[in-house]
Amino acid sequence: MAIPADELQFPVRQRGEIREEYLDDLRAGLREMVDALGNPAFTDDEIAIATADHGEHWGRADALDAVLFMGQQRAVFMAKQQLPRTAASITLRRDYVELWDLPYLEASGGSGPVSAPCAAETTWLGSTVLGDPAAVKGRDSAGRVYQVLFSVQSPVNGDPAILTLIGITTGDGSNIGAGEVITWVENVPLLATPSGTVVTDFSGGLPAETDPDYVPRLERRIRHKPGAGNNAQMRAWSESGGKNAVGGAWVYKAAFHAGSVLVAVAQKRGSTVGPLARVPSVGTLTNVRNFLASRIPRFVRWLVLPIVTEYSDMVLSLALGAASDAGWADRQPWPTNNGATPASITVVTDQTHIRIASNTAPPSTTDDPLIMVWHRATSAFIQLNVASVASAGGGLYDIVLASAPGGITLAVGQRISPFSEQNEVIAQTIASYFDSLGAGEIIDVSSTSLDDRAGYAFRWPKPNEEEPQRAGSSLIPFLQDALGPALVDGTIAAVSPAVPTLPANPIDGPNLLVAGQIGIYPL
Amino acid sequence: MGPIIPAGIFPLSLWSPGTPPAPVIPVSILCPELDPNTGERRSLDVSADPTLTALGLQLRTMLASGSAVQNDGHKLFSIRKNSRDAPALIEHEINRIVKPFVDVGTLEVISIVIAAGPPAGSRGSIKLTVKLLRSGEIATLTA
Repeated sequence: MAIPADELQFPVRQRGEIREEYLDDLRAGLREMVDALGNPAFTDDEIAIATADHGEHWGRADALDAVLFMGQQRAVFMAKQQLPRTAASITLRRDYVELWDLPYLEASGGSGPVSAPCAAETTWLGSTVLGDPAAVKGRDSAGRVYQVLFSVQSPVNGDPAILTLIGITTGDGSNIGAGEVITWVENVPLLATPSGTVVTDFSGGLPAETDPDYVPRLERRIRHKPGAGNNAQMRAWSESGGKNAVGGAWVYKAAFHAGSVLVAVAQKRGSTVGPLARVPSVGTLTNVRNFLASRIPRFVRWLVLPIVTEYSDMVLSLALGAASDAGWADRQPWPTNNGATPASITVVTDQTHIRIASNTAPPSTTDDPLIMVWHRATSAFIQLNVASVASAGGGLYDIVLASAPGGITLAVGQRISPFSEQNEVIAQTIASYFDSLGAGEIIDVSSTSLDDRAGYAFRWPKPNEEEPQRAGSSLIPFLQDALGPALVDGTIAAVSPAVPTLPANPIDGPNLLVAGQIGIYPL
Repeated sequence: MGPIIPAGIFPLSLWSPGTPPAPVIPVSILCPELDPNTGERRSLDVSADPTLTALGLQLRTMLASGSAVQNDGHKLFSIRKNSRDAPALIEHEINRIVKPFVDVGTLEVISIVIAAGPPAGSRGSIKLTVKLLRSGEIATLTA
């Protein structure tokens, strides 16, 4: 990362500046020289040729400049090592790791449920210790190895056992999808079918920690010193206990009573898409719990919970250019929102015939406006292939699609937006904005709260310090960073909820806002 | 006994400094005269033609032979002399070296004579004749 020159504590020169100063001084000196009669020794023309590029003087000045520049670059490099955020990878790994006793996190393996057909009441041995010789292990089609996490006995009625597996093999690849076949290779119970099937997509498999992930963790470690089981210590343990899979840990002291502590954990997104990517896998939670159990004294009542996702719906008004690849595709973007009310599907006759509400009528110049629908499950926009639009009266419009959209089943309540070529950028920015938010509170901690724990059981770190809870207008700078000058202005017409709601009981775990139904409209 | 000198007067009181010698004006040197082969300074008070000196610098410096010479010098060392391509490659390299000077109008190439290629074995020689347009002088460099 580059440091602006004025932030460095010493002046920095560009390559060639010293050379030009040297030659300027030389020209001034030559100009003052006189011959025996006291007349100027050289004309400006002669001086210009003598100090021209690639000449003797120029070569000498350039060599001097190069040597000094290289020395200066070493100083600039050293200055950058002062802060973790600007330090080079080698300094982080060699010096900062030693200095703060904070190693890089290892890669983690994906985890998820597997259906294992077997005889009734078959016992499958599991272990939370990775590589335990007693645990049942299996391989996927690519040869990656997984082990059963918890011991399970299959039901009496002969249904398959549902096992929780965790990858001994680590990295993105261990997030295998539903339907993948796992072939058992070690400690297979008698009367078990030789292979099982993945029930839902695995998650929590991440590669080893990278510098951009490590630096914020190091900065938190420096800002809040962990020690003696304080909040920072709980967080540091939780973050390092789940290997590289933990994307956030929030501490609520006295969540239940004095002396109790609740830690809510979110997972890193990794290569997973969609709003549920931050829900930790069972394997991630187990790793964190095991790690904490090995460190926290017996008399402390502590609990590690996954965050609970809460959908936050948004209506965005964006001032983008029309008829442009950088903005709206159509000259007159349609449909439009009515203030906080987005254009959304009100009736689905079938997957090619839908009725939507829009504040304005479609432009008369076109029969098939370019529109797209927000797909909540993957946090993405999907373009709809419109054949015709007809008014149904009362601000409702019947849309006939030329073909059913792929990857989504149209349903009432989904939001329809005018199409933009930048839809992927906008969708990814919205997803990464929600990823920057932190978990909400577990009890009412407002100043009017009647709860005795209000002064203690607030979320740590506090949301005004890191990882805000509230979703809202801070999304606009994210979009401005992503879209650049194409986005002139933007406002949030509606966001609901803006703050994560309180759980009915602290034991349910805190809510975390994720992208719900999103509609974007011209401002 | 000599005459009585009035009080307060000494022999040295009557000394006058006379006319001081003219100051020695240092020789004005536009560009030091260097040995084109070694780069040694030949004289402290002889000024050489700067364009000719520059050409000498380019011909005796190996390009990128040190971290400070990334922009100056020749690449003749990387040309395989004992090959049929050698004369063309050398001529191209000489033209590349003189191009900055030709471009600004200080130099005109009169002739490039190259002895290289299989008959010359593993070594090559160049005789470069240029006309310094400012002074009209015709100079010959060998390398």
